[in-house]
Amino acid sequence: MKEKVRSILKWIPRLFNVFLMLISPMVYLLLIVGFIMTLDTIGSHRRMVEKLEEVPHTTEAVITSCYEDGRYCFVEFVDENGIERYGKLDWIYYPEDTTDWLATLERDDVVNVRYADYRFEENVVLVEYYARFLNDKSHLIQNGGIVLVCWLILIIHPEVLLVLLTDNMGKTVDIKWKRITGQQ
Amino acid sequence: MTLPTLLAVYLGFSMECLWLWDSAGEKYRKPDSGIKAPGPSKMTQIIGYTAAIGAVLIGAAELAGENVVTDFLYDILASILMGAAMFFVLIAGAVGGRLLPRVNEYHIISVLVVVVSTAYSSSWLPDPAQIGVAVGVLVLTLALIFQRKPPSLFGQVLLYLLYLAALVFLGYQSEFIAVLQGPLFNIQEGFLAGSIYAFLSLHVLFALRFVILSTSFLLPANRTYAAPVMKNLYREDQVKPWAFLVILAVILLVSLANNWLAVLPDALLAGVLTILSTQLLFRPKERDILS
Repeated sequence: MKEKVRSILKWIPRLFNVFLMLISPMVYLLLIVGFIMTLDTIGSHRRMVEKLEEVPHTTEAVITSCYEDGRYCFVEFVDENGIERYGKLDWIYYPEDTTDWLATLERDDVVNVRYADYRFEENVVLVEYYARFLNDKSHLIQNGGIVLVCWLILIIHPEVLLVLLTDNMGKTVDIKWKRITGQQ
Repeated sequence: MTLPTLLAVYLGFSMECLWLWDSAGEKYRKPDSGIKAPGPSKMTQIIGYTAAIGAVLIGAAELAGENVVTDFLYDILASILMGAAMFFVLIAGAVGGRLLPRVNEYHIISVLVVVVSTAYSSSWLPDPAQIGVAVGVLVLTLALIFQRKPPSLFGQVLLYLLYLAALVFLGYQSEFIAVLQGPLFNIQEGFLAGSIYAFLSLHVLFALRFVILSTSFLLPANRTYAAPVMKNLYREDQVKPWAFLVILAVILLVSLANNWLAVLPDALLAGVLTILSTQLLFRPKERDILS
């Protein structure tokens, strides 16, 4: 009985290893998507900061609707040229207590926002949290975490990265496969 | 951007990919086919046809000028060609491996010199960092010229990482994406921008793959993969040290002359010099390799 338990216990890490090897192509795909998404979010955050930094416009905006599931609110405001504009107030930049407060807001409530001079930049930021928004890294953590986990799995099983990069991939990978499955 | 310029960008893109494919052929080519005068290879013919068809299309678009039809064609082709190019680069960089040119120490030094000289001319780096990077490149250059043995496998991996980092940095500091979207392109600049776009984007995507691969070599079980991978990325044959120094001096002179005369935008010249360094210059003659 003890022997049986011991052999089963011996097989658990092996099976886990085989599982990691089998999912590694999917993990690589996820890593590429995660990496592109990370670059995209960094780029859009930078563009948003640039637009908001051009001219420091602040105003009072009126809430039109809030979506707790999507974690954002839509606001309405009049810009410095007297034109009525719409904006999106994303909650990801604010601490927990502020998002709790944002969740309680209703239509026609008023908030102080900073908005961009550029008419097609619809994102607005709460004035009192603007400094926090400038140094915000939450957009990195969101996708960066997925990329990091995928990277760790690929460090253990990088075989999928060798496709079309080595002349005799089958033979090279076979040695490791046999070692994992205990054939060698 | 006009229709002829758009076509020139993607002609440059295609020509660069075909050139990379042709250069990579040496990894698989047999030394002697037995035919004494084989004539132009199939790949050379394809490159020739692509150049000719591309030139005819650009000429026709230029003659047609700007009108409703060419504007309509531009709108359609811009998104189709961009999508196709990005998909191709994604597959070739993230999954493929054939298009990557094999490089050695001299290629890597020349790319580093191009990148550093571009950073200097655009004053991208702050002063203390400029001196530090320049000294670092100089020390590395001298160490690699006077080395007695070729770098070990570990050294090759580190040098290749440095090479990819330099290319990623080049793409970043020259703001190449912004250059590509710039409105001030003529046909020649468009052609060069297209070929640099192919080269840099391919390497930037491959950098992601290689960084993961090289970190996986930290585990002893994966180290067996290092030799077969580097065999296809790193070449051991190289030109003689004096030839290398002469070519490097020419590259530096061209870079300085362009900085003074402003013939090409800095980002384009850096890209062109990088492509020439890795694909044309520093390639020993075939008789040297065989002997």
